[in-house]
Amino acid sequence: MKNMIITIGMIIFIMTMTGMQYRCNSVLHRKQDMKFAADEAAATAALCIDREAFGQGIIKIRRAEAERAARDMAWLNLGKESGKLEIRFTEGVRPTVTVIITEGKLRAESEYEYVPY
Amino acid sequence: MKDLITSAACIAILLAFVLQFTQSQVTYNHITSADQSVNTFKEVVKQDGCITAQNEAALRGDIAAATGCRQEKIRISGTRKPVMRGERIHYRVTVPIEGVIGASGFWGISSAENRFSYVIDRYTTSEYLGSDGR
Repeated sequence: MKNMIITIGMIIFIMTMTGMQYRCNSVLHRKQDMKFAADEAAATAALCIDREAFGQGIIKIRRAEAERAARDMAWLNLGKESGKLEIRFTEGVRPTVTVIITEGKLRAESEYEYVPY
Repeated sequence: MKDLITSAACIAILLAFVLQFTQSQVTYNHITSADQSVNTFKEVVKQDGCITAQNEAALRGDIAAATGCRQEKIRISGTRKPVMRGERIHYRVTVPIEGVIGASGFWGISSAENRFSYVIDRYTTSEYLGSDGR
């Protein structure tokens, strides 16, 4: 009887630990997916430059087009619109696009700039 | 003597649960390794504009080395015609993950049932400039 009680106690403890391990791994995996989606969204948005301005030597991101492209790419890779997506632009000689995806307490951020070839 | 027999039985049952803890971590590591390999593959595909025989072979080799599965069991599909910079590339990689349950024999689970397919179905944007004339 004593052995049985101890064994059941240990099984409950191990199963609790396994459950926590599963939860932790799921959260880490989701964060990795979100980071990937943010990277892709920012890289896609950074390609949406104004061609006419580029011809005059100015790199300028077309915000409306970039925002639409970033949203499309992010939700395409994450599967569904489950979180919040924020897009920030910075102006200057080398303008950048920052995509921030938040889902509950998880947050993924990625910043890209247009790279001319 | 009775205590010894019951203790031995209890330890055997406990081991099955303890093994599962480590096996779950191994499975998670395989998934993470496959993800990292696919991420490297994605960067090459972006530059190539599509999935080619070379980048596909490299991905198969990477995943097989990381997870221990056979290369021919990995399924890769997606965009195979080069697309130009700014256009979308789709890729889908299916990796078989085996040995999910640690003490499968103890629970009566066959090796055919003790597996699942990890699917990575994603999109990326091409960076291909068409300079190699494909």
